[in-house]
Amino acid sequence: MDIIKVRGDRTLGSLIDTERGTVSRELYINEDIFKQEQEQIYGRCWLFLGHESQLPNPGDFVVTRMGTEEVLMIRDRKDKQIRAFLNSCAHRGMKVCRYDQGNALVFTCPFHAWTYDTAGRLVGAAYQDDPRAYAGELDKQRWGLAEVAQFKNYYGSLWATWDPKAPSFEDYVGPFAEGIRYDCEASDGEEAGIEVFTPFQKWRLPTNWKIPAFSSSTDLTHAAMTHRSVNAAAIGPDRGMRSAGSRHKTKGAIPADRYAVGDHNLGHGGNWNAYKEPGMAPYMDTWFEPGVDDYFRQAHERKAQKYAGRIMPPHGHEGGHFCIFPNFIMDSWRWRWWHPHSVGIVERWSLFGVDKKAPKHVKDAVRHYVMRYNGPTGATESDDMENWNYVYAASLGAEARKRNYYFANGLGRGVESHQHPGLVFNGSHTEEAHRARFSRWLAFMEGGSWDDLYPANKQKRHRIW
Amino acid sequence: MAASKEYDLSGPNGAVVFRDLPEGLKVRLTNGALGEITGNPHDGAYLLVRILENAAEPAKVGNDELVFFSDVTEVE
Repeated sequence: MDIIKVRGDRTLGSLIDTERGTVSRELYINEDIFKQEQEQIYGRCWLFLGHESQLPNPGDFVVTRMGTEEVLMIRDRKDKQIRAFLNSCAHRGMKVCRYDQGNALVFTCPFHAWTYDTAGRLVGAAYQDDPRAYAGELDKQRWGLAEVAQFKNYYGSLWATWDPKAPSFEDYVGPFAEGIRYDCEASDGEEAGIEVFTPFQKWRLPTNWKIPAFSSSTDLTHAAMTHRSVNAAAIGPDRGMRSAGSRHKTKGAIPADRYAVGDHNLGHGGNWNAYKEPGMAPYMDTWFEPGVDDYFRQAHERKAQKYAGRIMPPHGHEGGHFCIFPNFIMDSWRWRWWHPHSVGIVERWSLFGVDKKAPKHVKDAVRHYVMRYNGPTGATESDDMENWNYVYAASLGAEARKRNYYFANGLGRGVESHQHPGLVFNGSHTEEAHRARFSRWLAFMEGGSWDDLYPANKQKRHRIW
Repeated sequence: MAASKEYDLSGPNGAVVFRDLPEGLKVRLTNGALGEITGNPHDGAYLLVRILENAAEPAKVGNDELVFFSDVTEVE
């Protein structure tokens, strides 16, 4: 592939002004850059696919995405393992599955009836034995569905990469692995103890994928203005109280230093709480629905016992969200990510977790809460969408595209971690996590292989500002 | 054994009948083999069939095969 490193007299790197802390709008609106992102970023990164609770039974399938492409996740009927495949027939490319989710014996392409089993193997084709057609010569071993190169079930969260040379998932997420593990815990601390509400919540909006995905790395400064109305009306995330809806509601807080963190080598980042004392804060009642607080209070007590002598991970308690490069945001009850469709169209997907063993009235209460709060008709994300939409529209013009975006909040004040090279701690309301996204973005866009990229190449340092 | 009148695969409604064939029925294939339906993906294209008789290739008896609709002659 011909990698674009130079655009006229400007390199990709020159589109990021590290001295002034600004980024060219070309990164968001340029078609060539978008195409290169699909190869260089979405073709190589570990990407979030879904949750194992979406496929509990043999033959269950869910259609998800990796970048611009549909991916079919299936739990095999024979070995019960979950696998992921390109949702495109090996014969002529037709989608072999046109449902969002379900259960199937086989997947039959509606074009020429090439048919695949639940392990992605080609098992049939129209006239496969007919002497006037294939005459039994079709090599079924060779013509299965295209399977992802690496697949990972990490405490129930499902991830994949198209790149066989990508590092392990644990190496890819680095110091954020603990946060993922923690967010997959149930309210009582049971490992991988959650399930998700199905189907995916998803909708499209007219903007570039990086506008929400990079700007939401952690953006505590936006809430005061963007969500002012819902907070004033007490219908926002707190409903006039503290943290309603979270699976980790606590009263007061364990003393902690709160940071915005950006991992400039790996591209991840977000909120980070460096707790100073072990244990968990007491539970706080916030649910209006009868019996829900009783369930969570008891679960919280069991979890408090588990963590009694332990310092919580940086995203424990109410540690806020963090992002996994390039397009995934996670916290203790919402998993949200953005699939690019074209340079100016992105599809937002969400999943919401709840304890597997919670009784129905608790699951219903949590489900109703996340529906009220999230999504295009929810209380707060409709606020965000206003910004995401108009940012793109207001950046397309000949004059507008000459003006860089400002990302200098906190520039030069970050402190690098000795424990994790590339991890930079900064004030909680700075744009350190945003800048880390761009450090990694540039490394991926220019890097020809994992030999050029951390952590496969531990000598590489990607921090550009 | 005669063709089933309940599951008539001929005519314009035959495709719908084929799509909904239940497990356990016996079907005659164009190569003369007899099989029992063990699964139906309900895609109107295929049946999963266990071969019960195959005079031309006895070794295939007991095999589970994915049979395309055009290779099914009738339901018995």
